[in-house]
Amino acid sequence: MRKIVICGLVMLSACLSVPAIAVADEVERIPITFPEIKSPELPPVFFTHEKHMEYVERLKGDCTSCHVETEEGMSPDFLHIKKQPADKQVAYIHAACTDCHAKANAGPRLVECRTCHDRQVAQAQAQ
Amino acid sequence: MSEVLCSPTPVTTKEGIHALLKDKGGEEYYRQMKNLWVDQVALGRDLERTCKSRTRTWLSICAHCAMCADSCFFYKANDNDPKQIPSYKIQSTLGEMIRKSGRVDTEFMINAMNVAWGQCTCCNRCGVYCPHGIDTGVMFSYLRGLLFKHGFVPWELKIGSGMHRVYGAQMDVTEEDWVETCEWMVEENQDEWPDLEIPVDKENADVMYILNAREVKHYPEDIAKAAILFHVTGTNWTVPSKGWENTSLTMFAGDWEGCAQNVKRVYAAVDRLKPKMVVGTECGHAHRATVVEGPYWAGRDSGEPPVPFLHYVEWVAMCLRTGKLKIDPAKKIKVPCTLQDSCNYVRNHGLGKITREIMSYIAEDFREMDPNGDHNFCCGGGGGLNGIGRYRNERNVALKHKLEQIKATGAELVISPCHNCWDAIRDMVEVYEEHNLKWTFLKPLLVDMMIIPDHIRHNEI
Amino acid sequence: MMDFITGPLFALSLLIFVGGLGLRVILYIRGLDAKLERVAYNFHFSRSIPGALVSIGKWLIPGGTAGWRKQPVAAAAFFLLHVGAIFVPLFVLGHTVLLEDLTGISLPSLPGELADVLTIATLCGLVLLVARRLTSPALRQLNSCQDWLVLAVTILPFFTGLMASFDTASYDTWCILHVLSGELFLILAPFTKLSHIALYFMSRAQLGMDYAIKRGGATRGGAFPW
Repeated sequence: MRKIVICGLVMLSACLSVPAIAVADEVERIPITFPEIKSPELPPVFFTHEKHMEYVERLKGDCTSCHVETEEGMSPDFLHIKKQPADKQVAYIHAACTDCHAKANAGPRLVECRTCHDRQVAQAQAQ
Repeated sequence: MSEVLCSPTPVTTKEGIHALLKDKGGEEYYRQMKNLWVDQVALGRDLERTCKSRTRTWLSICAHCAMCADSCFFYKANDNDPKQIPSYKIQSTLGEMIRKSGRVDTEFMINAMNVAWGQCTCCNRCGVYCPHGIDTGVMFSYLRGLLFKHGFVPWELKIGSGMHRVYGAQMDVTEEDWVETCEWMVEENQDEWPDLEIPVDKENADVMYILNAREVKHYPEDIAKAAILFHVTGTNWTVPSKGWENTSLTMFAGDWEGCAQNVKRVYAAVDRLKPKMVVGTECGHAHRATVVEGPYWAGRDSGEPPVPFLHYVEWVAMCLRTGKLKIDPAKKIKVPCTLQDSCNYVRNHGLGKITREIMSYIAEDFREMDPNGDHNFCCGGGGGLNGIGRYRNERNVALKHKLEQIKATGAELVISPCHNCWDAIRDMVEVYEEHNLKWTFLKPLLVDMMIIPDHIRHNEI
Repeated sequence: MMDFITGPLFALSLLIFVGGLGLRVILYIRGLDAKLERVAYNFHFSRSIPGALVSIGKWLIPGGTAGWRKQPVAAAAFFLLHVGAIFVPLFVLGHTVLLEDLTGISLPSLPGELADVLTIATLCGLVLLVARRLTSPALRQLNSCQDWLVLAVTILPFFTGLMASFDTASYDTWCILHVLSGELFLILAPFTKLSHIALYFMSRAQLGMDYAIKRGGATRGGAFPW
């Protein structure tokens, strides 16, 4: 009995360990550059801006869902992130993105770190 | 029609004791035990009432890591037999009893008795080596209490419990016997020590001395030596006529009611005679029963006895330290010697420092056992095991472990200030024919090597 | 589904974990009985509190007690497991981010390589414990179903967490398995030997107090020398 369980676990792990093949991403992405992370533990996020514009429209929102309208036009940064204390900026953007995903019942939640911080995507984007 | 020898009722009469004694080796007693009915409901109630979160948690969080195995001399002496692992021993007895809420049969109880008295001396060493601090020795003591209450106790301890209840001592020594023996010892030694006396029932003395009944019955010279040492150190001392015996076969038997009676008897003597302190003879379990556990049995919430109670080694160390007792350097022990740490007052009462202080005065070639002090192993015969015929073989095997320890030191003499340890060493010398090994209490050594102060009248015999 | 298992299910499992262990601690303390156990818990605090702390603390240090020193293999497996098992769940980056999001508390986070090393060490410790359980004659006498259950329930979150951090093609699956196995651990903890997470401290404190109050605390000159 013990042997079967051990074999099963080993096989399951083998199947699930298949490393992802780096596929060139078709979707257009822009790098999130603020806040700047000095020693990143995870790959940078390459954001599907175009796609998100579609999602926001579908939910009857507009650019101000994520941008602040100023005299010079839409701010490039996410909402009021520059107003947050430096050590709270990552938490701010994490919370805002994932709260919206939860409300929309679509998109990664905060627990799925590497869905946004995707190594293959970051490597492909760097090329 | 043989009378009922084996039942849950404790022995409280002389007739009861004699009936048991007549049954040689407890043959009929154990035969009756095979048919002794287990009151499962009562046992379940006992568990409900007395087994609370400490013990239940110990039993449930045991991680089965087996770190207690090597800590137990039974395990080591029995070639690492897995059935001697403390965790196994307690889980298969008390653990099982609790899981079944007391619904166990006679065979189970007899097996539990065999484990609780034949495979554990309650030395508490396992608790020191368990990462969770699970003290299996304490649990076996608790189990003994349950087994005693339901009648499943070894023959000799049923008798012993009866002795305490009837005679106020572990043997059939009456108060008359006791006082007469004191008088006899004074007479015997009068020529050598003209001013020697054993004051009985003197009030407001500095020291009240209490001892082991077997000294009265079998080794009265020990009483004489104690008297000589008190005499030579100028101690204002006394012995009580009642409450003079501080041992506790009742503790080994799990007879808590009997234990309480014993301790209250001794504390009552303190009330009557008002000594400044009490000094007990060289006995490990007497100290544990009267000073460590005793205050609780006597209902003292603080856990402290009514006045300071010293083990004999504490009194000796004090006398050596203050110069009341001086040792003749020429008479110090020259042969390599070692020290037996009695579990009941070393691991369980921190007096290992004191005994070593004494050794520094009296020995020139002192070799420590490995391990020693608070981590030392049981002599192999503690917890009443030395005296139980049913487990003599198990005891003899267990002695091997201590014997190996002693031999590894290269010592020729073991100083053993504890009656049970002394017996164990005597027995291992006999069983394993180690006739070059000697062993001794402290009193005879001290009397031989002390410098007699000028003002003490002494005649060479 | 993710919302459920990281939302209400997580909250429930945390509630069971904290509430369950808390209840066991309360029941433990309430179930102590100075008379039955013959330990004067309410007396001699000046030595019983240090006694309790030494009893707890020495066993938390590698080689801190004779017990650890006499059993180096068991000690190595224990510390390999427990150092990572305590520090990784508390300080790994993924968890600190979630903690900050949920509560605003920001703990320092472990550098990624260190988290990986500690997790692998934890898994090595667990594998050593499994091996010890399978091969030691002493442990084979004691092994029970619950021992295997506890090992499995502990291996799963660390193994799935490590696999998730390797960012494989099955990242999503490892994520879900990790969350579920972590929650399983939390839910089972108060009802199994995993309760030692809290009860270790209780049991050790009790024994430390016992020795300090009754078994030599007044004569030994210090706490028991574990």
